[in-house]
Amino acid sequence: MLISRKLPLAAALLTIMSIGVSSVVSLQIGSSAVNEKVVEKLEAVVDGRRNQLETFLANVQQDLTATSQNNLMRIALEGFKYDWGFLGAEVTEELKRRYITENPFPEGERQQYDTAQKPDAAKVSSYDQTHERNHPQLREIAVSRGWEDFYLVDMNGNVLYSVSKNDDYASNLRSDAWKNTGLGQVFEGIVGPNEIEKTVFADYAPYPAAGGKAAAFMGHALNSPMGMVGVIIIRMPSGKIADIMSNTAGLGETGETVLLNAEGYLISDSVRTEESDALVTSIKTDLQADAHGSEVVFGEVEGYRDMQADIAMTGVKFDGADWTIAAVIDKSEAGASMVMMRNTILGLSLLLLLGAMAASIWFSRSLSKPIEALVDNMRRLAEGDTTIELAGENRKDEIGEMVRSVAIFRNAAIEKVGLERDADETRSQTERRRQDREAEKAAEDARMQKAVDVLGDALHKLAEGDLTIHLDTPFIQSLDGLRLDFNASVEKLNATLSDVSENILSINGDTGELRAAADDLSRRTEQQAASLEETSAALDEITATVKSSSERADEATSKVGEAKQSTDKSSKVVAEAIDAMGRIEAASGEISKIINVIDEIAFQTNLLALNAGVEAARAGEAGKGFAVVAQEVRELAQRSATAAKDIKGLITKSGDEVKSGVTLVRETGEALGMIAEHVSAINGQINSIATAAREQANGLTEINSAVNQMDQVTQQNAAMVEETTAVTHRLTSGAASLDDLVRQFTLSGSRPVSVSVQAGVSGAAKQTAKPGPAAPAAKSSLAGRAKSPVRAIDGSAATARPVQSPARNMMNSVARAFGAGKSDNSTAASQDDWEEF
Amino acid sequence: MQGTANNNVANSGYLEIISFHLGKQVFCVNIMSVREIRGWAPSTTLPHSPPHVLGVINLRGSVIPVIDMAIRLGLPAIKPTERSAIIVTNIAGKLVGLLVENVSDMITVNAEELQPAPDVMPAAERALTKAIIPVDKQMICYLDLDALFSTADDELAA
Repeated sequence: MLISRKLPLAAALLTIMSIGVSSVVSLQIGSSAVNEKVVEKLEAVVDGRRNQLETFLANVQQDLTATSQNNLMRIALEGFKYDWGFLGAEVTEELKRRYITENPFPEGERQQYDTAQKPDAAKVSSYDQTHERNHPQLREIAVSRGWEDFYLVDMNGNVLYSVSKNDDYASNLRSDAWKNTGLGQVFEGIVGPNEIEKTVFADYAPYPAAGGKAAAFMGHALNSPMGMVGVIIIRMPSGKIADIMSNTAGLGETGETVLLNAEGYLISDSVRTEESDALVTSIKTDLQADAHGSEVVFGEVEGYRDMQADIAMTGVKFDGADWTIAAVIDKSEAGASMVMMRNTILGLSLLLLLGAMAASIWFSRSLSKPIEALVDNMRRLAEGDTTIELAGENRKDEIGEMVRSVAIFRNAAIEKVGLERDADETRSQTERRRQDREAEKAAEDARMQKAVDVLGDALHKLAEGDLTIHLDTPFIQSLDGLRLDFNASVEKLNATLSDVSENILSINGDTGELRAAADDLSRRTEQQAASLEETSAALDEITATVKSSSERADEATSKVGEAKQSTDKSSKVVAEAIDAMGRIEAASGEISKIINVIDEIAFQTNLLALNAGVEAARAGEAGKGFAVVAQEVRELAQRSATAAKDIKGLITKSGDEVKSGVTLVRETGEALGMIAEHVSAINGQINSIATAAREQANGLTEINSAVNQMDQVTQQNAAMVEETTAVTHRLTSGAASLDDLVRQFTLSGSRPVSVSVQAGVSGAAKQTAKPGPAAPAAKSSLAGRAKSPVRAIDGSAATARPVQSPARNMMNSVARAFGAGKSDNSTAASQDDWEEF
Repeated sequence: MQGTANNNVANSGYLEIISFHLGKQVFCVNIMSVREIRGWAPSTTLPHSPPHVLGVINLRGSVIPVIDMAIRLGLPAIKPTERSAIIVTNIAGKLVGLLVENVSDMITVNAEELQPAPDVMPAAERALTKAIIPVDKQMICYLDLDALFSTADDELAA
């Protein structure tokens, strides 16, 4: 099958599968969720109603119990019972006549009738009065509690009083007519077992006094301290129960809650039906058997109100009654939302399916169409057609890649054809050129061989030391340069060797000078070494001196420190002395005070003595002796006064002395402070002296090491000088062997190469001073060179000019001969420096 | 008193005196007219009293006037110090305190040594000086207390 069919088919199948499965699954989940919701709702409603109802019933029970304990009830009962006895034998007929048949209000409103006592009646009935007194209050209680009726019954079963005045009013509950009604059952339930504490309840049953409608009763004993005196019974407030049950909130349009008795009949009227349903309509289901406890059961029921319904049930327990509350709702309503959901999902799935299929077909067409075109093009290319048109080369996807690859194939095919044509042409041209070159090469080889032979002969002669050869026959053009170069080389070599032999002469001369200079240098070096040793010894002495002065400076520093401590101690002593002086002053003050006292005493004594004298004088002759004693006393007093005065003077003086002493001591302290400062200053100076001495010592150490280094260098120099002497000797012998070597060559120009090499020391200088006599036929270059040593010796005029080195000259000429080879008299122009030694 | 003193002199030929300083000068009174000598104590000033009456002092319950002898004798006023003394005298039966600078001595002199005061002074002033007694190198002026008191009395009355 072709891809163009396969792709859309696969896409459609996948879409149908995925959407179908997801729709089915979501439908399943949705329906179960809706079901659960319905169940939960019904259960919650049933549970709520049950709680409401039980609370309400418990309230009714409590109200009744409370009312039975109300004193008013007992009083009313006693009143009615008392009056009852005055109404004769036909009491039932009498009361029914008064309050039912002659009641001006219609049935159902008879309770509005307060009393049967006519205002203008001559006879007064005590029952009517009691009724008039109690009825409004009792009616009020019944209405406010919602009770449908309210009875007071004596122990004999007589209904002494009822609020609503129905047929049961004034009847006897033990009579056959009432014995089996709910009212009679309640009465018997209380009076029979003498039940004085609990309420007694009669379940809903058709009640004749209410026109056969369903009614339930509840009663309680009326107790006095003597025991039970009567019974109070109420008809249950069915209206309020109906109100509770008729609340259909949250149950939709068909749902409701109903109260069922043990047989499954409705106790309350259904709000969904027109007619009265109480004890007429029933819900028959097995579920009720399970719904006795507080558990909520859930199920389905058929037939009630002609519908198929979901139902939730739970039991209500109340004082013997076995009731069930049921919440029902039509299945079609409960499932309505589910149907809508299913339809929506199906519609959406269909739409999605159509859309997805259309998209997948379009998408697969967009893929398969270019592929088909490409397949066609590839087939044509394979058949060799390179003119194909390729569409979609700009696409970004894999198809674009494929198209571009096919384009590369097509271009490669076109290129291949062009390349094959070019290669053929190139091959034929190369072949022609190769044949031409081979012919030329053969001729060339013959000429070259001839030139090589000639050159070989010449080289052979050269090897034998013949420098007179010259090649005159020209070679082939490419090798003729070789011939010319050979000739030039031989000439150059010839000239160079001539120069070399010249230079050997001058080297011999220089070597002699060199030896003399080396000897001088050796001697001076020895002198220098001796001087250095002396310098070193002197330096050692100076170093010792500087060290000892540094030590002295340190000692002086410590002495100065001690002096400083002494001055510090002295200042303390001065301070103590000043304190002591102060104490002396204080003591003097004390003494002065005491002296003043003594002076005062002396003065007083003097006065007493004077008075005694006066008395003695007045006594006349008898007082003479006493006068003498008084005189003595006066004199003593005067002496002590005088002594006191003297001491006072002395004390004052000593005070002054102390003051001046304090001043002096303070000055001493200041002087000591000054001394301490000076000592500190001296300390600083000495410290700097010590520092300077240390620095000097360091400097001297450095100088010492420098001198040592100089000594070493001098030693090395001496060794060097010795080496130099040895080298000079070697140089001389080297020059002789060089001469031997040069003499092996046969030079053109018939100049014999012979230099006498002198090894002697004395002859060297002489040799250098004059040009070699053995070279009279030297060339102009040699003559020019012979002048150069003379110029060097000339002195001041030529000092700035560097002296030529013969060895260097020789080397240069050799270099020139084998180097550029273009300057024949370059030796004359050469002015190399001769400063090496 | 005068009589007694004179008698004293006449009887024995010797005279006992108490000498005291006022400034640099030395004066004396007859010892028999002296009741006692006490140290200086501040006196209570009397209103409108003459300059030489310093005031009154309490002498064991009796109030006696105190006279500054220097002012009374026309000398520069003395400044009372702790060493000043009050000589309590009995003049014509009245006790009078004399403030003096310093009680110097109790001397017994021969009556013959008494020499009359020269006549160069006015009569009123001369009446105060009974005699001059040369003792050692000092000249002691012997005061007539009765005259002093009568004149003072007159001045007080004036």
